[in-house]
Amino acid sequence: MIKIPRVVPWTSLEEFQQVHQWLYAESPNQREIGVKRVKAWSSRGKVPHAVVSTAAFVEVSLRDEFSYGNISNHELRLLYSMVFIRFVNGMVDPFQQGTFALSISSIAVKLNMPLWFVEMRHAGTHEHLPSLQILRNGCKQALQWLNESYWSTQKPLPSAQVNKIRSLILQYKELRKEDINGNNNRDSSRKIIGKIMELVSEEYISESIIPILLEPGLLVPMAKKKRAMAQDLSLLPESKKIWDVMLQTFDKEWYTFGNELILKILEILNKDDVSIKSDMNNQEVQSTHTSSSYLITLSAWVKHILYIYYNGKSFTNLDVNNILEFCLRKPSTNTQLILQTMMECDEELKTSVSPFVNYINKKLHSEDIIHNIDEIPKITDDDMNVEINKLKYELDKINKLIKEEVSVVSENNRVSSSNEDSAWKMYDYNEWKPCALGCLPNGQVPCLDLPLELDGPSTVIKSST
Amino acid sequence: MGRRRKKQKTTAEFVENNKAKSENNKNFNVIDQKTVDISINDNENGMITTSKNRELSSRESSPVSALSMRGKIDVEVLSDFENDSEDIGMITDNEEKYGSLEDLNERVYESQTLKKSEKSEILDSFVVSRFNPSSSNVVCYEEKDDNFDLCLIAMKRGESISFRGNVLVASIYGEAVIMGYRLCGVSSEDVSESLQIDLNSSLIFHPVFSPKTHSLLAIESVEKQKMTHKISHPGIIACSKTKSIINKLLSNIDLTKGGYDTILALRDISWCGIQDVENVASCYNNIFSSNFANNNEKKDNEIKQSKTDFFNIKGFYPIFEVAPGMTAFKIPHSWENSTNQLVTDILDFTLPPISIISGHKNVGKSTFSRYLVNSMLNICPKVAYIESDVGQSEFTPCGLVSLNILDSPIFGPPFTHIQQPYRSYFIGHNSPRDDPDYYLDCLRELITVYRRDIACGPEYGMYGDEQMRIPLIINTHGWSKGMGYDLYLHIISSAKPSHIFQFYSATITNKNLPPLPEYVVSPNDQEPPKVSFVEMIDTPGPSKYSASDRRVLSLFLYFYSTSAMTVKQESVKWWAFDQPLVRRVPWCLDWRKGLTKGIFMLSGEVPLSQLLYVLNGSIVGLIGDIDNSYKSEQVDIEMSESKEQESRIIPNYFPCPDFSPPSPTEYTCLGLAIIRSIDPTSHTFHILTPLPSSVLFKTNTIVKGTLELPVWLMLDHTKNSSLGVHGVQWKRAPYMSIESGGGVGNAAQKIRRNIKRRSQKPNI
Repeated sequence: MIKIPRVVPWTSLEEFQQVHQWLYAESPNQREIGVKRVKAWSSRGKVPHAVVSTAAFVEVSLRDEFSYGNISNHELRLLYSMVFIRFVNGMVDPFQQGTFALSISSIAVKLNMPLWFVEMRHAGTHEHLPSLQILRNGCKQALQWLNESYWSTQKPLPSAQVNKIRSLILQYKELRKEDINGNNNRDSSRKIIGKIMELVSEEYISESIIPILLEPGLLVPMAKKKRAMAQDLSLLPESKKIWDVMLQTFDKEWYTFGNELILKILEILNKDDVSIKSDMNNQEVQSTHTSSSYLITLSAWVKHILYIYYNGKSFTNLDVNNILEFCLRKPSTNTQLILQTMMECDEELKTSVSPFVNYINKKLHSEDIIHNIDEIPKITDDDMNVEINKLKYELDKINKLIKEEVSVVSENNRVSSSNEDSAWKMYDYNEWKPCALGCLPNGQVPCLDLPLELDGPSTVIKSST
Repeated sequence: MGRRRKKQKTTAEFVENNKAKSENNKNFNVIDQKTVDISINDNENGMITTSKNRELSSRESSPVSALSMRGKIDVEVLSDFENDSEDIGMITDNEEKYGSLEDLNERVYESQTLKKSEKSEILDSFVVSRFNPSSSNVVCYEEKDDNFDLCLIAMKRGESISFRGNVLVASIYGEAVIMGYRLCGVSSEDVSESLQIDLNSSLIFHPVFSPKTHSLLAIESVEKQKMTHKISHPGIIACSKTKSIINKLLSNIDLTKGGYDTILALRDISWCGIQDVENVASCYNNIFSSNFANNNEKKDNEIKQSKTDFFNIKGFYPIFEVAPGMTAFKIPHSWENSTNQLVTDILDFTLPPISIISGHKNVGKSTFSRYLVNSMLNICPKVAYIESDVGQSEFTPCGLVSLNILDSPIFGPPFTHIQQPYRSYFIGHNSPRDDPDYYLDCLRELITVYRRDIACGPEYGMYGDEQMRIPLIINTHGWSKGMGYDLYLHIISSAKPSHIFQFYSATITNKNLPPLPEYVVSPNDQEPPKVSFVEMIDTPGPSKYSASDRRVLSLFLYFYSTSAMTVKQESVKWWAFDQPLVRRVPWCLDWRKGLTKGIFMLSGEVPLSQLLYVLNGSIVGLIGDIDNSYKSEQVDIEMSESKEQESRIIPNYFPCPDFSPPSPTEYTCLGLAIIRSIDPTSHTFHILTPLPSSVLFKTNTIVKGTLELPVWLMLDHTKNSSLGVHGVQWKRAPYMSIESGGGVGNAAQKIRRNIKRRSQKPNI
């Protein structure tokens, strides 16, 4: 069961934090930009009420600050009062969950909202319009209150905490070593795990904890001797003992931890696919981070985690297919060994993927030979059969697709090929890559800014009068 | 049935005098003439403006508020969240809880209502089919190898089959009624020894969709009607192979011995792919497919199961026992009577009649209008339909008002028969409240277009052929209070209807509309309209699926529909749910070339510098010129050429309210689209839309309203991955967040209108 995400108007947390900074900036120009962006968000919908209120307060206070002489005090009082009324009501309304209305002040107490905000709302609605002095003061305090009770409670960018987490993990490693030697009871190392879990929430594990764990010196020991062996991808028993407790606790706490960890490892393996080969040939180490022993140890961890998964002890929600797909796509000596582990543990898998694995074995083998014996292509009958089968399968698939979507596809093709000058074109089928909505095919959201000058002169220029 | 409310039989009534009416019918709240007069003046002065004056005056003069001041009306109790919550994921499936209920013959109000949602499940005994399947009255085509499901059903008069799922239906012999439409048999000759269909005659199947989200449809065998001549409406034409199979099967049915009145042919339509919508969002589970596995009573179930086994059709589930969450569609007598009145008037009137359907929300307006359309199609080849309920449009996704020309019966809820309108306008919102003037302009234009092109035009009109007259049905919005009521009166005055169907209930009086003002009931310059009161459908509580759920559903079925749906092509997917939107190859629109007019913003105040932040990943309306002639095209080319010289990198931008929305006399809405991504470096919008290229290329304007993209359309429902969407991890995926967020005021504003004050008495 996957969690259904909630819809938010911002493209990324960075954008969200940026708007926070803008709205609370010293410079009125930045505050103005912040207000503009929140207006764009409002048009998308699903903007948290606290954000809407903050922007409204900022907008009115900018107007107050920069329109002296162009706006009467009464107009300002009306503006401020309306913002206050909407701010308080919007904060309180979600808590009116019963059949009958609760008093606003009772909810305000629950929210830790100063009661005079509520009084101001009341005065603005039913009594004398509050004075400009008190409204200005109230606006400042409301902005402060919003900053404390909403903006600051949002998760800070993970980068701020990286150092703290790293030192905690190191501390854990040392304590755990002592545990194993029997010098210590287990409580202290467990406490540290708890501390880490308090610091990090699930969304950020792949940006904070996981990259740290993968730094040399943690999951992968500093000393080359302590790293895994290339032949069978076996980890040092001590490594397993140190880290298993932590990894399994994290996995229990965070549903996606196992998958995220594996994903990250696979990413690293993927990136260094080329360098690993050259390493093997040169037998020379360039840096600790891309050295073959580093990558081998990471592969060994994948193998180890898979092993735990198949034994049903932990990592129960591992996305094995993802790993399988990766290994088949990126055949290398390491992934081949991972595949073997999977096949040993899963009979069904074994029968279905063994032809591929054989093929990979051969391919890897033959590549070596090619390197050695002046590039003579060596294709066996088996290879060709596999190839033929693959092509047949592809052909069938395409035939099926054509049958299903004849009308749609043909129409679109006609269109895309016919007029090159048309404003409408189909995106090139071959270049299109599925990607999340809002992203370009490269998986990134492009910069969506248009020049600020387009909005006309800024309103935050001191009027000369 | 003991607890069903006794309904007062209401026949079509002609309102001459409000006062007389008030004496006859105490339940009908009549307000004094004075308040009505005020509201009339108000309307004659014209304006519905968004100004504060408006609000003040409507408070004082609105008949409804006058009533409530007198304490006759309770504050609306049954209204749900107006801006309904989009947390569809939270709707829980309560079915299992009710599995062991024994007393099934009564309509049971579940007393233990759910704390949070206050939604209750009802058991409705009317869903049970009045039909006992046996080997003699259900004959199936047995040869399964060619994947062809067909069965013949022989029914006696009065028997009916209600079902869930979807199916293709055609009548072979005799007549059957679905939702007011009569299916007439192709072989109408009197019973001979061997009933056969003529292989040269055209046998037309109609698709019938009956999902759980709405009341289930029933097929009922009825007495043959003497018709002067039969009108056939396009559907799916059976091939000769089908016909010969039917003939083969017909020999197994003994018409005289069984005393059957109707023989129907049912076929599988599961190839259309509509049931796959269940995979898109978890809350629509089992709306089409059966879930017998969930029922607890095993022994009983086996018998029922065997009953359904007679019908060997994929995706067709006849109902033989009551089950929670399923209600049957029942036609009150007043509906039949007033519809019959209209049908006879169509034949008598010189001009095709214009009917308006009005009433509070959730009273059955949409259902009634479908019933009315189908009934009119019994005698007319085509019916025109104007939808003014932007929140729940019948033939388009939400946010549009449209004029549709219907030439075939509609069996199923709105989202199953979305079709390209004759003319439509983009309101861009679920309610007309933000720009009521524009809304009225659009509706007026639709009515004008009907009068000019359809009622009297040479193409469609009644020139020569009496049978070609196309009557108009206008469905109004359910916003019956305050400004909404004023809008309704404005629609009446511009439509000048010949018939008004007003919903009415003797028991739930706060859902009744106030009596129509004098100038509508007896106008000076035209024939007075015939006003019929139609009975509210007795819906005991809000259904499990809210208005917003249905809106989302209609967006799903719109964006996933294929070109095969528009032409009703057989055996090709009408809805391609197997390919999620996020994976589809989009159209690229170069905004320097394609948007000769520009981009309109219908709401909010978005600075141009922020425009792309709004458009990326949102739903927009595609707008094009109304193509009247080729003359205008030339002008356009010149215009666009002159503009091209300026080499616009920034699109023309028309924010509201400084610029009024595209004028309804010049522009029409071509359809909806999702801007799935933007590439600013190449001035390109990447666009997903079900529109065919021929329509798409007419686009010269993009309009953004406030329609929100449901989260389900951003996800890939075919890949159940916890890792994110297409390699983009959750925290990197824009516009989505899996963290719950925190702090005070984290939630977006939701509107709730059913909070009561302590001083109010609970309305039970």
